[in-house]
Amino acid sequence: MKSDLSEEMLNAFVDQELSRPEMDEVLQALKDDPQVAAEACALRHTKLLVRHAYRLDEVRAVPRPTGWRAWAGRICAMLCFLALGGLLGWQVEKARAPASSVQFTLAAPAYGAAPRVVSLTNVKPQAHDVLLHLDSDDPRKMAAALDYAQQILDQARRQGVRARIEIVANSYGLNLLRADKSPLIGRIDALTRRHANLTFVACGQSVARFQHEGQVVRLIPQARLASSAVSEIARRLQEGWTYIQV
Amino acid sequence: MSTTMRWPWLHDHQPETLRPRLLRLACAWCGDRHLAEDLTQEALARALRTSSTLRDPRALEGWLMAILNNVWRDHLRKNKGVEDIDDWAETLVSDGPGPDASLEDQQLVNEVRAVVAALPLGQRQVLTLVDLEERTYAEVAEILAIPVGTVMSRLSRARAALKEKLLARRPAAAAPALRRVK
Repeated sequence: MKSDLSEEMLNAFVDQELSRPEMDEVLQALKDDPQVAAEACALRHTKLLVRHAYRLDEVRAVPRPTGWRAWAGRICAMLCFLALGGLLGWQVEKARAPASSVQFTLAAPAYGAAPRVVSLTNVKPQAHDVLLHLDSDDPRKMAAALDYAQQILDQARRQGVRARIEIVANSYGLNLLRADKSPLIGRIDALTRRHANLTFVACGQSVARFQHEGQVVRLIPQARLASSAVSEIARRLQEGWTYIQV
Repeated sequence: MSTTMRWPWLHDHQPETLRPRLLRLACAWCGDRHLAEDLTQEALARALRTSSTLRDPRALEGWLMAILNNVWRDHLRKNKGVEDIDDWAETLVSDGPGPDASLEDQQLVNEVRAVVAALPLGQRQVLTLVDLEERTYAEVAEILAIPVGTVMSRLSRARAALKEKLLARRPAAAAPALRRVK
């Protein structure tokens, strides 16, 4: 039986870009059709060949240019190092200062990976304001975003402090905020009724991209539309919020 | 699990590891080592001038790759006198493979590079961002400012070409290479 899987789908499988149900569909096809299995194997093989043909150590091994170009390069690299350090708030001492850090206890998510947590050291910290960034439609991650929000808001309420949580969704994470696609509308309703300080922000660029692909994007009423997730995240970080990538 | 707010990337995010990766991308895109050096340098300089608002290292890397893409396109525009790059992103073909090296399996490496270099520019960029830089489709779409659907179709065509030119021609020789690179 010849499967009707598209080449794009098989490539996405090889690149681990599929959602769980899609993955199951491909795995079934691999089992059913040896031709599909061979095809997936060949695609994976090309990926390995490309990686092998452009090895990083080879780029490093070639000697740097000499003369003024070498100096220009070194100065540029040094400036870049400093600038990136500055941009990233590269101040270990400050980062360790307890005043700039939030201490909430978050339960490990179902998928096991610890969340990435970021805040700036060169701005006045808003210790109880947390932005949760969701860019995946993995149901476990969607649920984890709401779990984190709930945990932080409940803890803050018990501690008698006023916390603000903003869940920013872009890319496929946008599904959480789509009226036609969100699997968690009921929970979002219940959470926003319980906590006035929980807000939802949709990435305008992601919305535009889905619309460009011909989709009709309807957002849940709780969602505010920002120009882009990146600009929203940057703005909140500057305001002293803590960023957590779900 | 308790989470304290720290700097998780402090040790793994160093600009000196970023530069060779940008350089490798530029080499794969333009197929010329010296030009790739210039493009990388210009991209880093331009990054300095505009200074990012991004704090997440992965997003920051993506931003630098997007700048590299702009620098490369500016270079093409200047040197070819063509207005609409997007049209020939599908058709432009480079002259040859990248720099020399002395590896045991240099022949296979050269063949792969020759096939990659012969891909249309748009496909080459998507392929290298996905395979070398391990970017997600969504990230590649953002870096190259194209829809995700285009990323997927270009990648699919690029891999089909690699498959046809590399695997069909030398199935026996390709097999041990697969074992070795794993």
